[in-house]
Amino acid sequence: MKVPLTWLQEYVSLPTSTLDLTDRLTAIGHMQDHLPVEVAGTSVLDLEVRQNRADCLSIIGLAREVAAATIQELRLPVVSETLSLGQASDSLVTIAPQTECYRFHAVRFDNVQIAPSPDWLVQRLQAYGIKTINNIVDITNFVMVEVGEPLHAFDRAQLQGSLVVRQAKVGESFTMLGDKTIQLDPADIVVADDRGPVAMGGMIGGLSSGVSDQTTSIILEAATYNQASIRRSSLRHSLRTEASLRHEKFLHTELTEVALRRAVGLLQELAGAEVVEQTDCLIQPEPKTVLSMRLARLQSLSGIHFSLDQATAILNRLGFELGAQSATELEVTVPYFRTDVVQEEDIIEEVLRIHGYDQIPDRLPTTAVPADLTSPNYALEEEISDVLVGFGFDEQITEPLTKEEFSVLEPVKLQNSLNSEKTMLRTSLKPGLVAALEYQKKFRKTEVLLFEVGRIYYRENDTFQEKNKVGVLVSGPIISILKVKGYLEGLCLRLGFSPLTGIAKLEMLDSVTGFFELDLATLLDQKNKTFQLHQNALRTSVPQVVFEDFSLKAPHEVKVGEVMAAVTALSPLIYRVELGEYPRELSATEKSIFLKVQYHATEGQITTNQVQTARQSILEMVAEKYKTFLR
Amino acid sequence: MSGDVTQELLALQVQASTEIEAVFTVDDLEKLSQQYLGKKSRYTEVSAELRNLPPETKKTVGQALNHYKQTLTQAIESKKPTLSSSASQKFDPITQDDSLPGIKPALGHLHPTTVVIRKINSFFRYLGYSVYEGPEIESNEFNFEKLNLPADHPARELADTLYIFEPEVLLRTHTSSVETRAMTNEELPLRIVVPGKVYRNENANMTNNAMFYQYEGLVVDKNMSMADLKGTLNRFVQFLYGPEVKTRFRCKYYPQVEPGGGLDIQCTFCHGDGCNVCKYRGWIEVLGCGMVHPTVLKKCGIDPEVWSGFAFGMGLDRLVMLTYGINDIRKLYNGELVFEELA
Repeated sequence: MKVPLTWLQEYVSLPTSTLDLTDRLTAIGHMQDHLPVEVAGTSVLDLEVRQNRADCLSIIGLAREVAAATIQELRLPVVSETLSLGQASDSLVTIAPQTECYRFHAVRFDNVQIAPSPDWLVQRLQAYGIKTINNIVDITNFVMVEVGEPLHAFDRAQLQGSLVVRQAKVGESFTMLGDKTIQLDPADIVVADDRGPVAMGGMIGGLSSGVSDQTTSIILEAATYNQASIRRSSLRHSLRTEASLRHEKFLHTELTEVALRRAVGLLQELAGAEVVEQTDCLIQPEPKTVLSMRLARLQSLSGIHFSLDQATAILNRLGFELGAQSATELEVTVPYFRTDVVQEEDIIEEVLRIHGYDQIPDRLPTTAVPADLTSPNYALEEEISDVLVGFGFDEQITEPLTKEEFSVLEPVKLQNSLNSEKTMLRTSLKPGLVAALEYQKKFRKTEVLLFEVGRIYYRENDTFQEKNKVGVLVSGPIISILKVKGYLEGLCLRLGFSPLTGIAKLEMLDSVTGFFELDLATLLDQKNKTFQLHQNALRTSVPQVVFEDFSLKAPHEVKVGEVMAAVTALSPLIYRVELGEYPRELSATEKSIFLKVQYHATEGQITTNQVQTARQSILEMVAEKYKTFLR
Repeated sequence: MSGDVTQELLALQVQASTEIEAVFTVDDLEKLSQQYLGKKSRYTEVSAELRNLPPETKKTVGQALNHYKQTLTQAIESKKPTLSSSASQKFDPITQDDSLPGIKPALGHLHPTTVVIRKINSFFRYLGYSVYEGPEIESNEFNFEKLNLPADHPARELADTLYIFEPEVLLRTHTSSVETRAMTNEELPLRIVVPGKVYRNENANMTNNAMFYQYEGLVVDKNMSMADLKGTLNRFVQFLYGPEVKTRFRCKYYPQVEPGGGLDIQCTFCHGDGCNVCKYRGWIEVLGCGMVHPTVLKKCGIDPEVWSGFAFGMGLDRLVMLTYGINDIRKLYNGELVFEELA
């Protein structure tokens, strides 16, 4: 909201320093958006628009805020008590049933003298940033900015029949001021004469009925609409006007009359206009809001020991009426311009913000610390990341919004994505990491180690699933499937459990790039079954071991890992089984297995006899179970 | 006579030490050794004359000789290993050059967003907050309805929602949806923080991305006030930006809270003078916050007459970008973040 200081000054005395003013406004909820600029001989503030404060899109509304915050008097423009809006009539306008319009108030003027506006009015509008047209249009714009209610003037000569406010018809079009034609939607509100729409309600006037130099008779209107309807029309047609900006907020039905009376005074004064008649269609008057505010509630929410007098003084300055009052409670009537105040907490905020948030004491909750609800995933994700970073991996976070060529799972698709490259949620962490790898290659790194901890998403039986995963990608000149597997095994061991077959599918994406994806829930499950530290990793004494090598021949289909596991499990005398070399092909049906076995006694030194027995049991077992024999 | 000799030895010793220090090769060192300690050296000459000296002089000169020999022998021995060699000694390029870089282990890195989340988590964990998790695919109920954001609320049109099935299934537009879940499902009192991904239907540019990170916190307990909120956030901001940081606590509107507030820090780049980073405001908005709106509490099944609470939230990406000097948010999440140690 642009606020020319000379205009604001009409209604309230300002602090001498503009910085003091903007600081104070910021503190009470009207943050300065940009630095003040000089326009038309005055400093113009630029304040952030508050979504819930229709009144702060008016100079008087902001003057009231300044007056309350700096304890100054608010000087409202004087409108004569005797001023008349004309003879009541029902001939000017009607509101059709089921129209999203709550009040439409029209006043007819004759003998209007079109002229340029006086300098003061031109200066005000220029400083605010509205082009001046002629005295009639300028007065409507001036009153809109001053009190926050948009007004519109029709050239009566250009209208045919009386006006009706209604929803637009299917196929109807409208040519607005500025000569742009749009197709209307039945959700748009129009003001129409016998020939069709002459204005889009709450948005903009029509080209055909605008006030011109030839105009002598006008119909001036002020209205309130369903703000959501205006907001949607504004979005639908990408049309934002000074009028729609205000109508898309909650304007009170009483505001129309305030604005019309102010405009009538100015029209009489500056255009010699004569009021003839008025039609006021009031469909749904806003009820008065009366709220009670408990002092105890004010104190407990704000953390400040306010007195009733302090609260009363602040609320009075803001224009709230104070009714019946007890020692512990205030009855507060909300003024029509404060449509944002609907409950006790809103009143509390009013008192607190004018008193000043900087006055709130600084303390910490002293209640006991509640139960720890931290997800076990959180600690596990941290641990996994730390292990992988320790292995030399770099973490990536890639965007789950994507477009996959091929999905293993049924993907979750988006209905309304603006971006054709982001039409669904990822079903795997692989594409994101592969894209990252492509980029990393530009840096000529010899080896790229990447991981991501994040979710994948898919549909299953009409439910939407999100699973926490860790994706691991390794790429480099000496990357083999065994190296990829080694990272998987290393990660599992570091997490505290032996690597399980099938915990992840290892993929070679090309001859030098491997990938696997782990399910966090599975890892968590495994981890819960074991200790923090892998049991087998802990020694408290030096083992007395005896070494022996086994050079074996086995059928091709025998799995070496299984043989090793079976040998390890065979006897407590067997301390460790290692693979001496990777298998080689011996013949069309046989391959080599070279095992290095370490024996130890559970107590004392192992005897030659014990070694003999263990050795025999190994050879018997592999022969029987795996058709594997000494070479 | 004895005085002259001891003086002479001392002078020789000083001269020799200087020359030893300046020598570059083992050969040259050997030459110096011969010159000052060898057969034809003055040292050997004086040593030979020693027995002819009277006993009182003998003792002083003997001591001077010993000192001379010890000092120079030591200087020569300690010089030897530092010298490059002639043909007789093998050149070792590693011990010879202490400026050589070491062989580094592979250095892995956490993503900067993770680093910042962990840092902030550590602060709130210390104050007794849980790190709470919730779904990213969210319902209208938890993302909007329970947050006092009914269908016609202007904030809903500002938050351009990505829908899976409009209007019921969507991608969460803020981490506040996790807070309504916690308030609905967990026992009170409650003290949680929620870091996480959120989504908006936006075309990406340098400052906006369809996915970004938020960090929110929530306390629901008895007798919570704006003072508890302010105290918590002031300490948090000092933790994040240092104890000297200047803060500003002001009124601000959010539909989920009432009273609502915003916490700014004085711009750490221009110290309040106004610059590009703070858009010439002198202040940077850090957090939005307030007392949980009674309607929100009620919709989550909590009696606002018994319980009160405060909530606060911030976008994380800008903090990450300012901390690490990244000027394009897309670079954080499109796989174009590369770690290279240049030192």
